[in-house]
Amino acid sequence: MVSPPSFPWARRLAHGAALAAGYASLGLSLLITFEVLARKLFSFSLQGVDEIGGYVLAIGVSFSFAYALLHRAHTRVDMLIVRLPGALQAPLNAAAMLLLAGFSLFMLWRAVGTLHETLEFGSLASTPLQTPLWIPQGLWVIGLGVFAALASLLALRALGLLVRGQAAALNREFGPRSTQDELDEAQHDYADETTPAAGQGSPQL
Amino acid sequence: MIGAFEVMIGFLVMLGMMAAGIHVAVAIFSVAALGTLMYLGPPLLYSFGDALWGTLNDFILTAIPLFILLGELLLRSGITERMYNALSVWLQRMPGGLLHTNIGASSVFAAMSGSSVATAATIGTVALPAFAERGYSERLALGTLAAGATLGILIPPSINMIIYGAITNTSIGKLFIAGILPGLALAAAFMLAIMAFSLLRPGVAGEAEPRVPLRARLASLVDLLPPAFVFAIVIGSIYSGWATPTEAAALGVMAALVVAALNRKLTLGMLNECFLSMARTTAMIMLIIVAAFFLNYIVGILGIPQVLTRWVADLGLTPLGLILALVLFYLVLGCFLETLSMMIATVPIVVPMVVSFGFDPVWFGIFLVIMMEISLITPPIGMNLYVVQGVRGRGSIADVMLGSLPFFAIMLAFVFAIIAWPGLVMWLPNAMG
Amino acid sequence: ETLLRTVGNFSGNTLHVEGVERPFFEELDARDDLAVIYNPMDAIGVEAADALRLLRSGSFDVMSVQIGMASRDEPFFEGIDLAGVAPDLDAQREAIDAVRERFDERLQERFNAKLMTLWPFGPQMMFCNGDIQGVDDLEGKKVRVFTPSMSRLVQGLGAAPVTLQFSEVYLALQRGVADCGVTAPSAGNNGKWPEVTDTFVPLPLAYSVQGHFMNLDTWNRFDAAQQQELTEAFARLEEQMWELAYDVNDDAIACNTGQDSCSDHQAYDMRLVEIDPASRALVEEIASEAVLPVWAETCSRQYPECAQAWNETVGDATGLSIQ
Ligand code: NA
Ligand code: NA
Repeated sequence: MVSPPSFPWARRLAHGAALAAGYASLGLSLLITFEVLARKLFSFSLQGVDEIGGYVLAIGVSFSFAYALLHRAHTRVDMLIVRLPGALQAPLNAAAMLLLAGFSLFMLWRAVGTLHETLEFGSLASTPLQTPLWIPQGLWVIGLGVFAALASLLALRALGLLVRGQAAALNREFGPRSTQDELDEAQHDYADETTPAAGQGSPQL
Repeated sequence: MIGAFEVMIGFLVMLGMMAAGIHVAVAIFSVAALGTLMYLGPPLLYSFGDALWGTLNDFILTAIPLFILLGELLLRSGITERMYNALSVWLQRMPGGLLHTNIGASSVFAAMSGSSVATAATIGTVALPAFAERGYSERLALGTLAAGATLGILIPPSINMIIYGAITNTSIGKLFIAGILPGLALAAAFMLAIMAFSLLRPGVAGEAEPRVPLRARLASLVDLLPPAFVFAIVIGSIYSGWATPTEAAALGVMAALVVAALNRKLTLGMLNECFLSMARTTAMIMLIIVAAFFLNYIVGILGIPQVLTRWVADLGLTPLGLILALVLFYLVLGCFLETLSMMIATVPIVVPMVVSFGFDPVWFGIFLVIMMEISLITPPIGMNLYVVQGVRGRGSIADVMLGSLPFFAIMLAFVFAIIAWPGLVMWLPNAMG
Repeated sequence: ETLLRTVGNFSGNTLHVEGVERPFFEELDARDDLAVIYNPMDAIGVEAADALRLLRSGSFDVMSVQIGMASRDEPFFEGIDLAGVAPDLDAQREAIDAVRERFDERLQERFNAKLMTLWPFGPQMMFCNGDIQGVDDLEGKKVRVFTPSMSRLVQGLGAAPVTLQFSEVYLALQRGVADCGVTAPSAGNNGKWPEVTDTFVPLPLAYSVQGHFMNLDTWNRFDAAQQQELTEAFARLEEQMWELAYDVNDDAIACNTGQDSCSDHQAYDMRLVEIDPASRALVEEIASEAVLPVWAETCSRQYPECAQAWNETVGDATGLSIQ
């Protein structure tokens, strides 16, 4: 979402988590490059770069969900909804946000369940690295937790706007991205992100 | 335990939720969850945690963010724009202009990657920004990307063919060889269609640009060197046996970093922009993939593909009738299912039936892969549509769907072509023994 | 009528899945007191490593379990299939029979599941490229492995273990990312590995043990007579799988290497490497020194009596022991 003018800490958290996912991908690229060269030139393998790659994806994606949410990047089919009058759009936008929050909480709940079993069994990856699975799964759960927290906050805000009858504000904050948003996006500079006040067109919370 | 009527209701509920503007991933998941609670009971719903970890913790899929990162690096260091400038100087006189590069680049990348989704992510990231200010019909550009990328599983290597070969005891080498000619022919068909569009409706392929003298055109070739270097690293590492296609993505990222640094564009700020863009796009794609895998899991446990397969088998058809019925069958199934599962769930029942009607399993494998390609661009669950939309990161998904429509028609026509002329598929593998 | 939600093995193992498993469960489905929904695990996207959890939660009633993958959640189970321990299928069978009861106890206690069958895919052997005359020539080769113990054994042989996803192995062998891939002769034949390799090394590294487990609550819903009938039915299933392991892999070796006795697999012309008795002795030595101690240490963290339990069962049957 190009989102409500609040929750600055959640915004910074989502932003930081997404950056962490990026640096992890860069680290993975370095690791894989090393693996490829060592394997070909010295017949030496780290044995487990594929495994680490899987962890980086799982953790990185869970760390990125919240950031994508801030930017309303999670896909919606908007052909019909944008043609409805604002008063009808508002409950649909609120419903979409509430259901997304519900989904994020469900994901978090089940991921915690998986982590719980991993701890109970002391599970080790059945690979040469034998990674204790609670480490990657713990980070994965944290990412899903950030996503669920942000989605829930936004859902509460959408609900509040709906109850107070502020349909226009609700549609502006929670509707499918409008042409104006796209223009903003085209102009906006990601660097502004770190300084909340800057950037007339940049996404604001 | 579940009939065609209930399946239909579930499908309509999903479509209804999507139309009402519910997030695509949530609509897909909701139908899966409803089906689970109604027919299977809560424990299966609890297993979502394991399914979520299993889907995300997959090395093959790490190629998606890495190729997206590669594309962002090239884009933000200005290399992409200069590459497209150079190409447009050369292609501007050809009807359709730059749109051809989408098909060409997709075909070349398809020859490195076994996955259409990875192809869409990469070519989309590199190509889309180049179309922004050139006056091309955006829908057509999106369509060429979504459809062109489906070649990823037809032009070898192909993960789908490897799995088909293993299940049906067909030579994977033969399948790969059999995919080459149809792959090139389909790419050519796409290009012919682009030319036809741009002749019929001038303006879809951009504004006329001033004619560039030969000397300037030759000079522009220099701008193709950096992307060619990155491409050579990716392709070369796979074909020389240094790296798997997934690992090649990481090598490509490194090569792109080098190129960006040589271009004096590699700064911490630029790197962070690339990371954020990668995170946003990957998260958007993976949320849908996660939901689609879970729906797939539930649809499989409910036995829906088998119910439909048996129904087709019991129709008592002629060989031609059977194949035409299968075209329809896979078109419908392709609306809901992810390609690999669709294949694994139906092939054990369909292929023996098809072979008993006298069809060659290699030919049928190619037929099936083309049907899978079609399913990648048919809504509501068409991965390439979402990937291209995700890379684009703005506007409506409807643009991608509408833009893909002409290519959908071409692919369908192409299926009828290989039915009418099986030699199109079988000539090369037969000639090579 | 009791519903059995069943997950079968990987569909790529056509002989096991289409030849034995699916017909077996169709037969159960035909019984008046049972209804079976059967799907190979990859048809519905179930991860092999999740099997024990899915059984425990009751997500599924019966599952075909790849012991090596499932031992993620219970290292003791891996003890049934440690690399280099059993010299041949007969020895592997004795080891399995020796540990069966202890295995079932632990399965019931920790995972609320009952052991129905235990059987192997067959000897895990190497499909290689390059000039390999014997075990010594594996020095420096990149070998694709998939279990921790196999990795240690291969390292002991002087080769470099490489981990790759299964779906990438064919391409990796073709392009030389890996020099050798390990799998059962029949599985490699079905996966068309001889298309991209030229040398077959018939040294069994492990046996890829599989099982069928049933959720304990589901099991307890049956009366004594039904339990008896099911026990017998699954025993027949297990017997069929063992016969497959014996017959199919001999035929697959013959077919992979282009011998006249080849009958049921695709024929190729890989070169068959001679394995001398010294090689087997070397493997056993590596197993004792490098594989067993490391495994025992991991295992005893979850199950303090692990080494002792192994010595009394598998160790006793194979003549090895963990100190
Ligand atoms: Na390909
Ligand atoms: Na589709």
